[in-house]
Amino acid sequence: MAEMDTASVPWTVASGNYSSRFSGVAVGAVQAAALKLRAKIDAIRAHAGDEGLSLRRVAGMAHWNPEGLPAGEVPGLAAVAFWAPPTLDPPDTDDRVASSAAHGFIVDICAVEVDRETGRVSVLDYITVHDAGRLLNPLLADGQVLGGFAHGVAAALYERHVYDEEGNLMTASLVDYLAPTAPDIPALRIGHISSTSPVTALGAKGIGEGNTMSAPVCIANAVADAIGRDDVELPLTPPRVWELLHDGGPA
Amino acid sequence: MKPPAFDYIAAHSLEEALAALQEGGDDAKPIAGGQSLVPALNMRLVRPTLLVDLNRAGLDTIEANSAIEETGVIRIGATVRQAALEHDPRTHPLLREALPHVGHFVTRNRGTVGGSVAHADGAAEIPLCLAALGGTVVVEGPRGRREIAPADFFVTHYLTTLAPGELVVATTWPSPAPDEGVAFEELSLRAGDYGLAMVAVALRRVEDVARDVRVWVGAVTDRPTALADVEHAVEGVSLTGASAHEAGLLAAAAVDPPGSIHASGAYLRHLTGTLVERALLRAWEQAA
Repeated sequence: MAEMDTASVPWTVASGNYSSRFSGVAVGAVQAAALKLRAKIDAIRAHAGDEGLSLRRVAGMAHWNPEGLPAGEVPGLAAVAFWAPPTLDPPDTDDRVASSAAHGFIVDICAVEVDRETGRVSVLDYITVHDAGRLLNPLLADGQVLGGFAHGVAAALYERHVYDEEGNLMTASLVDYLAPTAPDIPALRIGHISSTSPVTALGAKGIGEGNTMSAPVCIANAVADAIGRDDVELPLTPPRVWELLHDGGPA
Repeated sequence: MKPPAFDYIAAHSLEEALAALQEGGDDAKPIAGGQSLVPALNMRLVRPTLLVDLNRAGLDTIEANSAIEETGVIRIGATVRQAALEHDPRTHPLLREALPHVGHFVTRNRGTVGGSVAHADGAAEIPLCLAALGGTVVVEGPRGRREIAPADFFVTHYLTTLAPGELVVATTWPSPAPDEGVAFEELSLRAGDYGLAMVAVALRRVEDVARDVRVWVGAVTDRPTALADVEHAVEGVSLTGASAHEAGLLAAAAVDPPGSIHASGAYLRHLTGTLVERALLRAWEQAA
């Protein structure tokens, strides 16, 4: 596999990490290249008359003895493949593109407790269920979920930029910019439902960063429900929740 | 950043440490755990030309032997680590409750009790507990040894009555009184952050009324501060939800903290009242 590098190839929508394109799109090309390579290995073994020939020997033949390869085979064990799902079109004349091959789905449910006197929000339970199609690596998938969730909780309960009237950033250090640390992140229960995508090579959809988007909404809705307000603004730090509870007199 | 250049002396006794500090004068600073001093050095907020390392000066013992216990006092050497006290059965229950709020797990492994007291941050937990329990700060210097009450030691943020050349060598802590209940309450925005407000309460429950009531607050004030009005209001009272709430309202009225980008002054006042109310009720229940 080649690293994408705009110093050597032009930028494309596959140059970076957009729209969960790895498991949905890049993996299709990886699979196609791997299948090509398998066919070549099979052909070399057949040509040598030994179907059990070790991969080490096959590779040695391909690299050091190109004369021994089947007619028409190029030296080396490498393959180049292109793959695109039917749902992706190239950018239009206005340079617009829908870059997602397939969409994953998330459902989040949480229970929160609000301390009416201090304004502290405690997340008592949080369950997230993902449909990312076939999970290519379940451990990595859960890692994506946990990392995205931590970012989501940070947006919901901790992090914000504050500027003074002259436009100076008042939260320029990690003392004042409240990036949460491990003890601040609530426990998370993760579930998966895998309905495979018909349009991606291995049936996988995207999962990256999903809870970054869902957790702020889920926590905000739960707090809004708990305090009977529909005008909550993130982040819901204790002083800001207390102001919501007490503006217009103590609740 | 890196700290400015400084000389370094590892003192192997209290006498060596005092001599080095005296020689270094105003430009010398003691270092032990370094959890506040080293960041300040690296940001070049302080520029001492000499650091006197106290870690080998023999100030790391906890004395609670029979001679001392007769007077009901435990003496904690200045370089005893905060983490060591967390799990020591001799540690006063109020301090044990407060210690998990001091910095983080890893900073407590290095941070010292004496360092926290000498640094005198207005939002530091250990000075607040020492003041609330009526302990003392033991210092040694060119004029000999002094034992100072916290009210006469803490002046304001980062300022104490420690004289030039003097060193905090220990703190003394009273043993828990009979029928005593204690509670420590703090709210911080993140785990391990400085508290927005913190409260230490100690009281005795004698014939079902509160006696020897001590209500001290920090972080909303520039040093550990007793709330005398609250103490008087609770003294001799049988604590209930209603009387604790009244005491909380008095506490809220007694402090006037400035607001910040994180919290308004009104919030901090209300928070102080809430924490006082909760600490009083917990201490009262504990004393039963």
